Amino acid sequence: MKHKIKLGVNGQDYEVLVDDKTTLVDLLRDELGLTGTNKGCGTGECGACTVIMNKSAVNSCLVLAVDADGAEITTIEGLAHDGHLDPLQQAFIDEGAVQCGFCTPGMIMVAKDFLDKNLNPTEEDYQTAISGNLCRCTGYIKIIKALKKVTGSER
Amino acid sequence: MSDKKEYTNIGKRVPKLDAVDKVTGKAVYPQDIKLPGMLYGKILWSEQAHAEILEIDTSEAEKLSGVKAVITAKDMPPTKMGIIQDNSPLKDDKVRSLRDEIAAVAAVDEDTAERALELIKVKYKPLSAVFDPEEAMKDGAPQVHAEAKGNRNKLHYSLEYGDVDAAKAESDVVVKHRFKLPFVKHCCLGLHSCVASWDGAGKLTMYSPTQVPFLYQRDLAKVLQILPSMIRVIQPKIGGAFGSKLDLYPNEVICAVLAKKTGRPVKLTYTREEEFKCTPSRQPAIIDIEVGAKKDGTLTFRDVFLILDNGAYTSWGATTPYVIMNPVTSLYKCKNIRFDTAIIYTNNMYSGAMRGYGNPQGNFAVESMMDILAEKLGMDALELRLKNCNEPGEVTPQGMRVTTCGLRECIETVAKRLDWAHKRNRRDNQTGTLRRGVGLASYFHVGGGARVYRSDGCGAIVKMDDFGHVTLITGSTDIGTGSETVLAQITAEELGVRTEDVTVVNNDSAIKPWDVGVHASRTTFIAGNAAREAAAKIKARILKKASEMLDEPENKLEINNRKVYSKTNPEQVIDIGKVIRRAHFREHGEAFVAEAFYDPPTEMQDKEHRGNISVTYGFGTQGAEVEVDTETGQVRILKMVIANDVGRAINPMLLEGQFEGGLSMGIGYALLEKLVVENGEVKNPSFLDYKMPTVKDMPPIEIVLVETDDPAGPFGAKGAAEGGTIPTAAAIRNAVADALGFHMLELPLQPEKVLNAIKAHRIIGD
Amino acid sequence: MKGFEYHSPGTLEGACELLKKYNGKAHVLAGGTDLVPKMYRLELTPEHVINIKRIPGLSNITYDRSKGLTLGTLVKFNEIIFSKTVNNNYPVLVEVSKEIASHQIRNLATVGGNLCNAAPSADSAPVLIALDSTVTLASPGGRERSMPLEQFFTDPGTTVLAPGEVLTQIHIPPLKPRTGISYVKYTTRKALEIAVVGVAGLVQLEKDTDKCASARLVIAACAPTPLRVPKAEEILVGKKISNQDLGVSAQAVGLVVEPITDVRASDQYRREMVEVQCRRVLEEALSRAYSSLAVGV
Repeated sequence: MKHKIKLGVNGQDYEVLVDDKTTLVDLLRDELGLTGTNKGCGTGECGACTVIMNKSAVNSCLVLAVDADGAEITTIEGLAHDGHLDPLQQAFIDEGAVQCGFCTPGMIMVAKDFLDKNLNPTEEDYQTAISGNLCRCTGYIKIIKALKKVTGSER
Repeated sequence: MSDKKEYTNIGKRVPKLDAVDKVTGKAVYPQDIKLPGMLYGKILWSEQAHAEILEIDTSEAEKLSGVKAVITAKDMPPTKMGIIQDNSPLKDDKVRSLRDEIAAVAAVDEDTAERALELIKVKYKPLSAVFDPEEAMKDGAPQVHAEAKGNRNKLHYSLEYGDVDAAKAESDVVVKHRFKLPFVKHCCLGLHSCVASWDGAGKLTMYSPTQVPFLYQRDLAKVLQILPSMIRVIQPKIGGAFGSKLDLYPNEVICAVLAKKTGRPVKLTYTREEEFKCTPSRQPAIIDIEVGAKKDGTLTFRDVFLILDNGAYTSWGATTPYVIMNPVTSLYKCKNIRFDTAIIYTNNMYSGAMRGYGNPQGNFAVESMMDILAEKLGMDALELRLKNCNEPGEVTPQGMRVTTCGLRECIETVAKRLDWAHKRNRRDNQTGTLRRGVGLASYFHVGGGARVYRSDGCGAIVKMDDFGHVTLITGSTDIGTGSETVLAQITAEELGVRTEDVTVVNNDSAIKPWDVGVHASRTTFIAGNAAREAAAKIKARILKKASEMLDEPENKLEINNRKVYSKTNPEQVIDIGKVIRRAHFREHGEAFVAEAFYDPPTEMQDKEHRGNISVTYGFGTQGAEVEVDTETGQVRILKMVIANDVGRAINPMLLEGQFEGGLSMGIGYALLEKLVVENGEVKNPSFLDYKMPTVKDMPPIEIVLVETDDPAGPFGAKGAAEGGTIPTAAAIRNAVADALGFHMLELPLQPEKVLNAIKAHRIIGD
Repeated sequence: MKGFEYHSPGTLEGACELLKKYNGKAHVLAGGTDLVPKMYRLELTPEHVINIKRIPGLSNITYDRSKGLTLGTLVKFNEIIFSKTVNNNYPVLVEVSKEIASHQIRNLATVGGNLCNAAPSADSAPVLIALDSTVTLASPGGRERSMPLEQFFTDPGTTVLAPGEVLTQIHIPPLKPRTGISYVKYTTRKALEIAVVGVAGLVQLEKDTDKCASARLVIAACAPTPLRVPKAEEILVGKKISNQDLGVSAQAVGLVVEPITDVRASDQYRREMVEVQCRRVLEEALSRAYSSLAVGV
C-alpha cells in the first residue's frame, strides 16, 4: 500500500508517495536523488547510511519511510551552508580522513550529532562516536584526528 | 633522479583531490548512477554445492509484471571466461559451488527482480562434493572439473635453487611446521555495482569499479564476442577495491548481457550478503615449510610446499604463488630454496587478488619460522634477522636486483621503538593472568612495478592550457588510495607549478592511455614516472620558448611557482601562461600537449621463476607489543610500530593513510577475521558475524617513513602501499608467541583458539 | 522485504486491539532496529506492522527516591545514557546502554523493544533482572498486569506477551544501601557485537557488618533466555564474601548454563567464559558495594 508522507530534507519540504516497506535510505537515494547517503549493508551494521533525523543520527536503512512522516532530516548534502563547508567536512579533507569516501558521509553525520551533544569528549568518546561506522580504507586513525581537530583537542 | 632539496609539492601533506566531493556527497559511485530507462539486475545463485543442472524453468519469472528479461546460459555467447577459461558467466550443465550463477533477471526495480528470482525453478541432480583441498587430492574424490584429473589445477609453480638437500644436511638446526591461512574477505564498504548501457550501433559502455580497465575491456570483449574497441569503460568513484576488482567476474558480464537483451541500461548491485558469499576471497593456504640455519645464524635453506584451495573456478588466487615465492626466496638472504605447489579444485568459493597478493600468506610462514628458528638456535630473533638482512645492491636467488634497501634501518627502528631489549622474552618474570610480549616481522615486495604481464607500462598525457593550468590524463586509476593526488604533485613539481594547478583525468578508457592496472603498489612509481616524463617534455618546450622570449640560454632558466625565471638574472621573469599564449596565438602556433609511456626496464620471469620483475623493491618492518589475557585468550595489541622503506614519501599524509588502513586489515587477518565456510556454505555472511576491525579494535600506531631515495622512482619514490598489511599478522603472531612461550601456526588468533592453546600448553596465571 | 500493512495507532488501546485482531500476523514497531533488519533478511514476514511511537505517555523516565525508577517502553538507550536521573541513581543502566550496538542505533532502539525482542544475548535484560525489575503489560479493554522481568522470557525470541498485549513500562525498585552492580558484555571485537556471554552481578551488603545480604547473578547468551542462577547467588549470601566464594559461585554458574555452539563461539568456550566473567563481575560488584556511599554504585 502507498502512503503519502511529508518530510523536510536539508531544509526543503517534500511530499512523496511511499510504499509501506520503503526504507528511508532508499527514499533519499532513489526517490529524492540524494545519493550522498550511501548504502553499505541495509541492516544497520556498517553506519554508511547515517543521516540526522529529528536532531539525532540514525541508520537510515533501519527507518521505514512511513515512520519518517513529519520528520526533519539532514543528509550529507545539507551540511554545508552558503557554500561553506562544515568544520567537520573541512577537517576530514585536511587530515586525510577520506580515501575511497564510501563511509565518509556516514562518519561525518554521526560525528556531527555526537560532538554536538558531547561538548567535552574524552578519548573514549571519540571512539564511541564512530564505533558504529565501519571503514576498510583508513584504519580510523585520521578520522579520529579530524574529529579532534574540530573540537580543538588535537595533539 | 632527485636531489635532497626542498620541494614545492613533493613531501607535502596535500589533501586528496576528490575529498571535497566525497565530504559533500557529490562523489558518484556506480550504485548512484541512474540512466534513462534503466533496469535493475539480480542474479540467481545455486542452491547446491555440486550438482548437474537438469532444468531451469524461467516461465513464471518471465510473466511477472515489471520483469523485462530473464536469462540463462543459453542466452549467453558460448564462451568461457576466467584466467584459465574454466568459468562461464552463467552455468549450463553443472554447478560447482554455492556461488555459481544460474540465471539472471532485469526488472523495473530491485524488488521485482528479487521476486522474479523466487519464481525461477531449478531442478538439480546433486553430486557428491568436496570442500577440503587435501581430501580433494585423494583418489576417489569427487571431480570438480572433468578435465582436471585429481582436481589438480593446471597452474603449477615450482622452483629449486642451489642444493636444498645438501644444505639441509649441513644445517645445525632444522625446523618444520605447517601454517594455515583462512578465507578472508575484502569488506569494501561500497557494494559491488556496475551499469551496462549499449548504444544503437552496438557499442557498450560499462560503468565499472574495475581496477584494470584495459584488461577488463579485452576480457569482456572476448566473453561477449565483440571487438574490444566496441567497449568503453568508465570508472566512477570506487567504494574500495583492495584487489577484489582485479579480474572480470560473471556479474559484470551478466549485467552487459541483460542490457543487450532488454535494449535498456541495467544496473546490477550486490547486497552485503552477496558480497560475503559471492565475491572472491583472499586465497586461503596450507603452507608446509622447513627451514634450516647454521649455529651462527646463517640461513641455509627453505623448503616450501603450498596447498591451495582453488575453489570451483580459477581467478587470481591461483596465481598468488608468484608472490608467495618472494618472501621464500628473497626475504633475508637464503641461497637454497625449494618451492612447490598443489592448486586443488574444490566445491568452495574461489579466491582473487587481495592486498599483498599472497605475500601476507607467505610472509606469515617465513617470518614465523624466523622466530621459531631463532628459538631453536638459542639466538635473539632480532639478531637472526639482522644477520641475514637484505642489503642494497644484492641480487636475490630469484634474480631480483635490489637497488635501494632500507631494511636494516627499518628493523632497528622498530626494535628500538618496541623497547625490544627490555620487553622481549620477559614472560617468565610476569605474574598474574596477563602476559605481555613483543614481536616483529619484515617484508619484501615489489616497489617499482611488477612485470607479470608482457607490459607493465602506463601512459600519460600532459597538457598545459593558455593560462598555465595543467591537465594530466593518466592511464592509472585511483581506487580510493589518493594516487591521483600524488600524480598531480609529481606533475606539478616537474613543471614548476603548484598541485592545485593540476587537474587529473583518469576514468575513461576512451580518453586515457593504456595502463595495465592498479596492483602491486605500482601506481606511484610507474604512473608517476610516466607523468613526469610527459611533464618534462612540456617543461622543455616552455623553456625553449621562454629562452627565445627572455633571450637567455635554456640551461640558465628554471620554472618555479608558475613563472619562468633566469637563474643568473632573477629579474628576468615571465609567467608560464604568457609563454604559452605567445607560442599559441600566432602564425604556426602550437599547443602544449605531450605524452609518455613508461614501461619499466624489467624482465619477465623465466621458467625457473628467475627474473628482475621490478625496477626496485620495497622493504619494511612492523612490530607489535601485545598483552594476552590467559583466562580468556583475548589478545590486546598495546602498540604497533611500522617502519617502511618508501624511497621518498611524495605525500606523507596519504602514505600514512595507506599504512594505517593496511594495518587495520592486517590486524583483522591476525586476530579477528575468518570467513566460516562449512560444506561450501558461508556461515557468517554479515558484518555482525564477520569481524572486521572497528575503531575500538585499533591500537596506538607509530609510523616511521624511511626514505632511501630510489634513483629510479619519481623523485625517489618506491611503491609501498601494500607494505601496511604484509607482515602485520606475522608480527602479531610473533609477539603472542613471545608472550605465551609457545607457537601458534594458524590464523586468526581468535580468543577461543588462543585459550585452547594456552590450556594445551598449561600456562597458569598466579 | 515482503510487503505488509502499516498501522500507526494514536492510542494504547488502539494498538492492543490491532495486535489482538492480527494476532500471529502482526509485529510491533518501536525503534525498528531489530524488526527492520529481520524483515530485510526475510527472517520475519509480518503482514501487519504496528508502529507504537505515536502513542503518548510511553517515553517517560520518572524517578522517585522511595518508589524507584520507571522507564517507559519507548525510552531510547541514548535517552538513558543522557539522563541525569539515571546517571545519578542507576549508573549501571548507563554503562549497559553504552554497550549496546552503536550511537546511531541507540538513537532509535528502545528498552522495551530490546526486551520484547527477547534475544538470549540481550544486554539490558540481565541487569534489569538483577535489579529486580518488573514489567507492566497492557491489554485490550484498558487492562494491565505486572510481573517480574525474570518471568517475562520463555524462549529465544518469545515472551509471555499474550495476544493483544503491549509492554508499556519497566519499573526498577529503589536500590538498597551498600549495593554494588556490574555488567560485563564479553565479546571478541570491541564494538558492534552481540555478547558471547553477558553477566550481570549484584551484591548487597548488610549495613553494619560486611556480610552479603543479597546477591543476583544473571547470565546472557548461555541459555534460551536470560538466566538467573539462584544456586550461585546462595553461595554468597549470609557471609563476608571471600575470593574463594567468588570462584565457587562462578563455578556454580558454569555447571548450570546450557550454552549453544554458534558461529560466534562454541558451547565449551561460552561455559569457560561465563565462569571467568562471573568471577570478574562479582569482584567488581563487591568492590562497588564496599565503596558505595548510600545507594547505587
